[in-house]
Amino acid sequence: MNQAYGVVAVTSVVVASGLIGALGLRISRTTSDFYVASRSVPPRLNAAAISGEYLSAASFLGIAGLVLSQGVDMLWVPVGYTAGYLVLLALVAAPLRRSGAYTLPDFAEARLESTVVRRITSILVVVVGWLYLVPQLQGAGLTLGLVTGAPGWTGALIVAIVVALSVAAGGMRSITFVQAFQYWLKLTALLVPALFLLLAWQGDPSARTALDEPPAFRDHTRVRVDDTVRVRVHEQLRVTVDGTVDGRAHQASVLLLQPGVHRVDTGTTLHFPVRARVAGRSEDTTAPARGSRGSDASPREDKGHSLYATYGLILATFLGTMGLPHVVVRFYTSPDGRAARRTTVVVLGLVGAFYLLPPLYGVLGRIYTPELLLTGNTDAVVLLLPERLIGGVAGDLLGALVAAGACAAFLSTASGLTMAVAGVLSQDVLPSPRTGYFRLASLIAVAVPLAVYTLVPGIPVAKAVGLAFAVSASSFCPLLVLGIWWRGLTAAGASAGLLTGGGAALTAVALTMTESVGTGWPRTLSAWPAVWSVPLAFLTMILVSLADRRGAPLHTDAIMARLHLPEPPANHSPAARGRRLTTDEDPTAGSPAP
Amino acid sequence: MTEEPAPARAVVTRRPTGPGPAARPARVPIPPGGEPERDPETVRALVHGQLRTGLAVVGLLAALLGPLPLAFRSVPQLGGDGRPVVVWAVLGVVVYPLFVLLGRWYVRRAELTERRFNDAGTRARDGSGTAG
Amino acid sequence: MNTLALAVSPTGTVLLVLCGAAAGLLAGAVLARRRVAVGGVGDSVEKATFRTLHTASLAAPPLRAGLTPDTARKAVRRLRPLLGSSALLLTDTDRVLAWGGSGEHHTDEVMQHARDVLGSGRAGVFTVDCAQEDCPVRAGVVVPLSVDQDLRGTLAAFGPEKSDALARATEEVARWVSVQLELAELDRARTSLIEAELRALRAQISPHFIYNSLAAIASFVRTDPERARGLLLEFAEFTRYSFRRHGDFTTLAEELRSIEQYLELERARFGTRLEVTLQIAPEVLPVALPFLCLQPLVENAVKHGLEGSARGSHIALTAEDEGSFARVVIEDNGIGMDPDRLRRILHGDGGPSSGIGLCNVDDRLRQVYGDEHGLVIETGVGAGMKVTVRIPKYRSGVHPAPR
Repeated sequence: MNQAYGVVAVTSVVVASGLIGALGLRISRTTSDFYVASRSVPPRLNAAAISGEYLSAASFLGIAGLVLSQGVDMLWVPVGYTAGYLVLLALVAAPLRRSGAYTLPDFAEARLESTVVRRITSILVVVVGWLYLVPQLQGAGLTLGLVTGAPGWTGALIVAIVVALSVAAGGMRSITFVQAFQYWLKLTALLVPALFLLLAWQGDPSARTALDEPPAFRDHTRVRVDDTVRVRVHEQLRVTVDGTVDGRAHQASVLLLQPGVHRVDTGTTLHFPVRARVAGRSEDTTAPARGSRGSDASPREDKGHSLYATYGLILATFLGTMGLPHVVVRFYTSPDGRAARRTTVVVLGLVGAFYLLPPLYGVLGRIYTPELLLTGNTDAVVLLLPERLIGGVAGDLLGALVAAGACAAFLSTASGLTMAVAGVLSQDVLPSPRTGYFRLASLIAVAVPLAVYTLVPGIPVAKAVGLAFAVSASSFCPLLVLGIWWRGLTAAGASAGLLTGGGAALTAVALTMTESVGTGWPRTLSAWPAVWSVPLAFLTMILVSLADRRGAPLHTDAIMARLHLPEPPANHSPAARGRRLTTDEDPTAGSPAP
Repeated sequence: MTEEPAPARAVVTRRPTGPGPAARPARVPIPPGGEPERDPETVRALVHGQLRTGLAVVGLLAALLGPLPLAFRSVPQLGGDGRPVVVWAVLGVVVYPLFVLLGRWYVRRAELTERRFNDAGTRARDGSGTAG
Repeated sequence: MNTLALAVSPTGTVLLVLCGAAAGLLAGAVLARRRVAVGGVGDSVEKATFRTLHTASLAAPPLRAGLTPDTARKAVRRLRPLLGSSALLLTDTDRVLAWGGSGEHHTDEVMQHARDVLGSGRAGVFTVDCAQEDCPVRAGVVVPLSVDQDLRGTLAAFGPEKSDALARATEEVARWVSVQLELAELDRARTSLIEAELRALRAQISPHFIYNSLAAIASFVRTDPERARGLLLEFAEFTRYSFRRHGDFTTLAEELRSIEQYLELERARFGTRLEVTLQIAPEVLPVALPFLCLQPLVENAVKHGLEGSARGSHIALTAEDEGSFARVVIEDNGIGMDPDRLRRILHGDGGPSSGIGLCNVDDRLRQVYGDEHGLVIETGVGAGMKVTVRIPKYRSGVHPAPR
């Protein structure tokens, strides 16, 4: 990748965002456009902002990486990311807006009139925000690493500093315009190169292979392994090895690898023949390093696992979107519940349009960059393809465009999340809300995920995001859905459900991230907790609420009415304004004045 | 915004806010109010109506997408050689417009329910007069 | 985390799930039954004191909302463990509001005693006849609850036999409940005082502003009828908003709209001498805030800006997004004010006619959002004035009234 172009692209994204953020206020100097300046954000603009904030590094880089490494099953990831908004629309959008809540803790307090539930929700919001921030920093490290050649952690550190500073300094005085701009930037950055890539692919007669064929090397390929990996070989494979394989040193010697898992040490170079089927990185780090009996599960059981994983993914993404802290916050910008609904439909369209693209990169990656499967750096496929497939100045320019889009992806999501987490930290977790605490809070909000990133590296970006979705689905989803539709929910029930569901999902996440669970079902169950933790959370909330019937909030009737009563039709529409005066009802007419 | 060097300003608040434990928000319990009085039964009917619409959408979503992972797996020969193409087409393209359509349908239904509710409200409030 | 690595088998995972479930249920149960769980066996004096105070503090919030079946039920649930009586009930002047404990079939009989007590105004000890062998409600005490010598209801406690200790304790608790009810009335009185001030504020807007506006409109009727018509409509909208009767809160967007109308009318009078710049972050437009809390500030700025200034007045209104807050700044380049005089005004002793507006806005902001959200004003003689308000995007109980 051409470094000069890349650096220019990334820098201009940062500068443009900063300018829009600082100058993007609506300014009016005459009273005639006063009305324009004080008009609320229209659904389309707000939807672009929501989409811009939502489409993170996981969407921009991660999905293509997953499709490359795991194939067609991973298409469920973008499907879930989008369908989550449909569930949000149908069950949450309008009532959430009508509750007047800005954050989830606000909603918990508004609905249940309990500071205890507010506290618990706050802590969970912070944890989910952090879980979601880790992969953003990872994406930042990856992108900036590829663009500048710096090691991954410097990129993450730079982005963490930029985000913390901009949030702490209140640099984004109007975030809506910035986020909307970044949506369109991200869409362009994937769409334009994709068109060129498709053209190049069309013109390549040898590349018209079926989509489901296992990825294979098209040329004689040399791959250098930068850190020790275990690779799974599916069929007998003849490679030339320079380095250490399975603990034995080789020097330019030809090796016949049997099917199974093999260990390749740091610094080894492998030469693959033409049309060799690509050996994939083995996820299973606990499998025996040597020998051909690396497979620990029968094919039948394997099938069961992946089916379960697919359903786990579907549940987590479908139900988790509604609880993401940075998504909830954006709905406050809608002027009323009706606008919130319309906004969500537009988001469905915008996000869906975007998600048509990343799988394309994944598929092309299977054909053109299969060596990523071996090095494990599959998240880089989006960034590498333009250079690989098109090359020359055009390839460099398109590569820079993609890098700019990736930069927008992690910047927008990271700053949105940091804002949300810092807001909750300063209001509910740190003692006594003061202005100065917000700065401190935004530093903490970034520092913790940065530390986690340096300590626990190497989780695929989209998978780490999946864990955040799982925690959100098993804590906030029941809180929102039951809170909005079931008047029987009590503070005790909500607390119990949040603690059980959120706690269980978090435990599973911790086990997965520290790789403390061995193999087989326990591992699968903890990697995809939503299937069991979401029902568990719902059940706990319902049962404890039923047992605590008398603990219902004092004003349940009034609150339910506020959540669901439609706003009266607006009589301030621009057309009606100033043209005709509607008659006002006289409340004193017919009855004695108070 | 002042052209010439303006005289110095001093910061004034009602109480000099110094360091101290005074910064707790004074939470005066304000009973939720301000809503126009509506009969709890009609509100309940509205909530049920909206819940039905919402659940219909979610149910439809589950019914359409839920069986897909099973189907794709249990029928490996789905469409012969073209199986992956079908899967790619469904999961990669077809579902997205479907989501938008479902979403639009939901919004239309939900707004219809609300309009009816509002109309019923105005009818109940004034037998013949126009609403403000 | 490695201690949890035992979960390597399916049973291990199931165990883990069950543990999680048990923990959650336990937490729920604790939260639901916290009132009973505080303290323990073998209390020391401190523990007993703590338990009493804790129970009282839990029972206080419902009572502070007044005496209704709902609040009575919650209060009784908290207070009964304190007295240890078999039954504890709260009545208003004509019915039982909440009955905690057993023996609910005595409702009518007990209400009869309560009426006697309300009639005499003095506590009474009664016995109850019951056909049921195991009924623990045999005798008890009924104590009146009063607010300012006005009887509001009774608190009654019953047990299996007459007990002086129970009678004395019940009287103490009744006194405490009365105090809470008195505080509830005080809250209401304070709120209505603020409301009265708000009404005064609305009334204050009208006389000279209405006269001046109408005069300005009249001057356009011949020269520019279209403008006159537009102004008249602005005037109508503005008065409709200002004289609105329902709801304490509005949205920033609505408040800005009324400011727009107000400024349009003022510009009809002062023409180009009044310059206005507006910078609004659209995110903060839906923020809920007390009704008419910015318009008086703008009015102040206009007044200060135009007073004694020949070069014309410039007013800047900025609304920015600050995470969970909205920051609104109103700045003018007018004559400013002596900081000490302003301080006196804010403390409410600036003499008559000296900006009830500022003081009232400050009061209401502090009442709704707490002391750290009062007005922050930067000013000096001849230095203009800059007023800053920081409004939380959400505060429980603050909801804009529908338009």
